[in-house]
Amino acid sequence: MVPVLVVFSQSHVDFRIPEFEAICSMLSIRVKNMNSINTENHMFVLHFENRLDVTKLLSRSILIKFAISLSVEAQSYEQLFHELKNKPEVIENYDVPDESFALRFFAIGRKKKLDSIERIKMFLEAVQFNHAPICLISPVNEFYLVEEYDHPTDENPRKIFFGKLWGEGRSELKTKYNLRERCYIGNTTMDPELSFIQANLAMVQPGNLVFDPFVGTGGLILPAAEFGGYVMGTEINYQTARAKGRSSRQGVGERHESESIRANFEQYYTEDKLLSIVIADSSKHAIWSSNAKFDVIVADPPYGVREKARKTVKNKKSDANEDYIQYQQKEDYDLEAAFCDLLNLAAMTLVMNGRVSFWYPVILEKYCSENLPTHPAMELLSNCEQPLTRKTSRRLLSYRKVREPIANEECEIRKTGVSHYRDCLFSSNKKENC
Amino acid sequence: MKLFVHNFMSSRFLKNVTVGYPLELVVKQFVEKDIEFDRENTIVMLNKIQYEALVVAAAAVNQADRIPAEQPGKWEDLSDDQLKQFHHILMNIDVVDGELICPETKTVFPIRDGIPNMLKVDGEK
Repeated sequence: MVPVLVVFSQSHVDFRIPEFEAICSMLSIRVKNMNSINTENHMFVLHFENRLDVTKLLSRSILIKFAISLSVEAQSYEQLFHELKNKPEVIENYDVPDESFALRFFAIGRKKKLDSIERIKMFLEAVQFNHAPICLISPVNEFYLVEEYDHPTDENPRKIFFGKLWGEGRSELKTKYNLRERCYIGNTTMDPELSFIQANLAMVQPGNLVFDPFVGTGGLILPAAEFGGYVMGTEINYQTARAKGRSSRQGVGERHESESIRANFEQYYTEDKLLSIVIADSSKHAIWSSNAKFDVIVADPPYGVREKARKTVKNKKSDANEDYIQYQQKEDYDLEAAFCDLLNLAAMTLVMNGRVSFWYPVILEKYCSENLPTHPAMELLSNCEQPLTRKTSRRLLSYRKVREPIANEECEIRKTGVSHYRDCLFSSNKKENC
Repeated sequence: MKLFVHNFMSSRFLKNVTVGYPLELVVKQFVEKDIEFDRENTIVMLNKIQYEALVVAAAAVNQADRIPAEQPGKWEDLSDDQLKQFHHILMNIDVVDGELICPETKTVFPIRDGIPNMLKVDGEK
């Protein structure tokens, strides 16, 4: 086992442990003290079997900033320098003329009044590199001096760590997939960082067949394709699927001809992974043949607030003559029914051990675990919260299919909660509903 | 729409349709791409497909001669060259313009700009 200092992002802390566990589970990475990770601290010394496992973890994690191979851990600089003197190989192995190096300083828990240049100077006076040239832009070896503080006002750090950088997580993906520069977006396109976290929680792996029944502009299947999945999606809104109508961008007017879901995939060079977008009603499960099996389903069903929740119904009488193209009529789709349909669809169309991961809006005051959809063939893997407003939040629920559903087994929501979501959001505080 | 997707779709959601599979496929325009072949992934995909429907799809683009009329024994036993023929049908062919047709009611679902529209009125006939 090798000790590794893992530094986490301080955003989306509720997703931290589930993301870590999901990646370890899908890539068979063993970490001896995984349960020491919590959401209060942001840095942990974890014990891995080897460097390859750390590299694999970093290749997927959005919420890990970086990982350092831990050489020395000390309570004070005195102790740190003493230990480095006793372990000269820590420096000597890399202090060679043809390997440049950089030393970086990082503090967690206290930011103010810390002089990183002073710290680095002090360190290099005590621990000398005699041969390796300094290179700050692209060093061969990058060392980290890390201080951890208990309280922002503490004078001295609780702990000091020193080691060599093994790599960074994939937080650059949220920049690469930023919505400002994305060709085609909609009103409710998922935040890129969360969409990648979702792909991790759903354990999308190369070659997986990934399906989004509420695909919109493709925001959830783009990360799946980035991670090597073959993706497809259905969308009930003709205009959205074909990128027609008014743009979601302020002041732009009509959508440009060049906008399309496919164009998004071309923008990120993953168009090879796009199987198809289909205009269809996701509440009609019989659109899928019995051999249709997906490895992963990801979804962000409409909550009926910024996007309407709709399903098709039998057309009511119309006076249209035969020349007139008749489009199928749609009606509002009850939110809880929509989520139950989704979990039923997952139980039916996922392969064994396949995962479904979807966003579920909740009213904070009423939220309890009985609000969550359950299905006897589906095991809840994780439940992460993202606060939305003072009164509401949404939860990313991920399930695994544990067996084939038996006849008549259906999704159940033991206690109703979401159905009043829209009313709650638009009602005054005094109203009974909330 | 890649031909693979045809293999997963049925028209059973229409009224009075009992099987609705495989859908008839009319291809008016398609593009052929050169997507990287991966042996493992191709076998995983082939394990999910229904063979008769794949033959229907291959015939719709006049490429039925690429694959045998009957399903081969074990996918794992096929050579890379053989699997590449299946990979070509499933992944390289993108239908741009055409129709999916319900085998029982003959309801037509148009494919335009590569996007099939399954929201056609099922008709109060």
